[in-house]
Amino acid sequence: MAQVTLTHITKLFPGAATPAVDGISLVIPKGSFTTLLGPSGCGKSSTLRIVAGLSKPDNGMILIDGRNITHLSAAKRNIGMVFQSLALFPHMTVAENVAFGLKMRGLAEAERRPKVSRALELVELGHLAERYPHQLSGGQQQRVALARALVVEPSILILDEPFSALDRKLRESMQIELYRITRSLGITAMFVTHDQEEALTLSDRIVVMNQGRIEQDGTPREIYGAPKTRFVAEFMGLSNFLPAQSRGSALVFEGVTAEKTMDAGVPQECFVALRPEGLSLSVAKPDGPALNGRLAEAIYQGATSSYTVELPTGRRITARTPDCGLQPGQDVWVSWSPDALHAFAA
Amino acid sequence: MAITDMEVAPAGSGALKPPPSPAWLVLPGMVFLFFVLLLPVGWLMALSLKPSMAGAFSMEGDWTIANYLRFFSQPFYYSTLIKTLWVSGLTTVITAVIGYALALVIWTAKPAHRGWIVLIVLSPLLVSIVARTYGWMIVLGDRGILNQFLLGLGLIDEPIQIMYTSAAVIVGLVHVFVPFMALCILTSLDKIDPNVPEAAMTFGAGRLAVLTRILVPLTVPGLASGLTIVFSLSISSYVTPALMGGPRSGMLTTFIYQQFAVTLDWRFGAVLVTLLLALTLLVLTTILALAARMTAKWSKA
Ligand SMILES: Nc1ncnc2c1ncn2[C@@H]1O[C@H](COP(=O)(O)OP(=O)(O)O)[C@@H](O)[C@H]1O
Ligand SMILES: [Mg+2]
Repeated sequence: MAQVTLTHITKLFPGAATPAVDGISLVIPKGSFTTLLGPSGCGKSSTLRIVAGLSKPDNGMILIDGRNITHLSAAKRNIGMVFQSLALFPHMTVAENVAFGLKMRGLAEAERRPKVSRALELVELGHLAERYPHQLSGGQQQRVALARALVVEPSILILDEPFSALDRKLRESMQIELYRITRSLGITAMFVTHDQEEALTLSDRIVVMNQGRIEQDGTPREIYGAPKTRFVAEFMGLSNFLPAQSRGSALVFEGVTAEKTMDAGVPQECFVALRPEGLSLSVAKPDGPALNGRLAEAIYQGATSSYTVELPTGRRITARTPDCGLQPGQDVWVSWSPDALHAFAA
Repeated sequence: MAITDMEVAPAGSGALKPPPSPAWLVLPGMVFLFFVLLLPVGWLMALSLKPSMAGAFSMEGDWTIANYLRFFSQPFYYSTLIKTLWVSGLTTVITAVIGYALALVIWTAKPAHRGWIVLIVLSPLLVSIVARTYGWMIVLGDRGILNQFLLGLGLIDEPIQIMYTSAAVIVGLVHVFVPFMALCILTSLDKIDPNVPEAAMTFGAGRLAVLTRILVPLTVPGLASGLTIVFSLSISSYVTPALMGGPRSGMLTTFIYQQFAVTLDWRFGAVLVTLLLALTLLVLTTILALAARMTAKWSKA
């Protein structure tokens, strides 16, 4: 396991107007599970491919444990990679797939065998060692790809949206399995996803990317609880954006004043966002700050219902709360728990 | 009305007759092949079992294997068989190596360049065989470009003969067959997920290991079709050996031509035809069987 450092990594594909990766600097500490999170096309895969040595950066350096590997070929980087398409070797059995990296490292058959069976046990596939990839289910193929990457004891494990092809249930169980395995082995991992829930579940640290740049970098708690930009806020499922003014330790929006301790970076003219899950509705005016409006829409969704309230300014906000029996057209009050309110520059 | 129709169709599936077996569709083709291929070839094979006689085209005479004994007892005859096998085998192998390299170039080229490279690879097929052969004469002749070049460099003292040797035949054949081989291999390469060789690289495979352990095994199906096509075209080629190998190219096809057109010994010529056919079928089935065995376990189809 090793520490990986990226400094000012830049990649401009020929013919592209803007760089796919635009000056990314990042330290991935030994044993940490770091996730690059961002929308499709923001440069996550390009960054991973540069770390893996499958693509050359135009600029910048990659260090593993302080050693500059920027110009080292992929074959010599000691990396374990799981591709989005899995990229299992179709002409090799499960055991041969897993043994491939060891073979390339010059290990003899007798040394390979115990390592391969241990890796297959780890992903609970020992009984399928002699199968070919096309004879396996999607989840099983996934675990072969993981075992193949782990068996070489890589300096860093790289995973590019490995679960995006799986259905929701399988994806969740694979996430838990990946969490268990990486933490028990103390692996340094670099994971890529565009799914914020997946990032929150798996990561020690999340790096939110947008258009080739790092938008915010922090623990899942920090990213979810204190998004620094509107982009991160939206990506983490925040909505209900309203223009606001910040006055010292208070925010004024829609004619309401709310106390809030804020980052120094929030300018006077700013935006607030209200997390839909942190709102509650009532017919009577609650204590503390609340917004008054008319319930425009109520949609029952099982565990929660989605209520859209039209404010006097014509702006709409949406609340997601357990069903509370309100009907469209009613006059309602919207209040919020303190951590559902966020403020940032536009 | 439309709605009723839609409702009735799935419900009435019991009323749907199973489609008639498509087997009869191949019947016209089979009849055609029977008359233009099986019948004449069968007739020739039968003819090879009649006593050799110049100018005899009919079936009269006793059944005998004397023609075959004659062929295999005289080195002059059976050496043509060995030489033909050797020249077409070598042509096929050289074509495979060059074709593979070209297929890799096309496969890894930028999509914008791909069409142009394919066009260049196909270019030998756009030139008539006669023009192509005379082109090679300019290059390979005793006073050709190659000899002039080697003489100029002082590497040789007198011209080496290339035209009218097996080497010239092989050069001529490889030139035309490379496109077939390259396109067959390319078809197989295009089925490979580009992440697969990349994955191999991240696990420590260098270029050679990626080629031998990943790409070649995965392109066995394309390689097998390329090898069978090129081998059958090589072993049955006539014009290139006749023009570039000279009158005594020693290839079976030119020998067959002599028997049928010059000495008019059809019955002995029929022996050669039968042997050529048997040899071709033997090699093709061997290649296809080997390829099938190599891919049977992992290919989905
Ligand atoms: N090989 C390539 N050639 C040209 N452009 C590319 C290539 N790979 C990626 N891009 C472009 O770079 C940008 C980032 O792509 P990528 O890193 O794959 O994003 P992500 O993985 O975050 O979805 C996209 O605009 C994409 O079109
Ligand atoms: Mg990607």
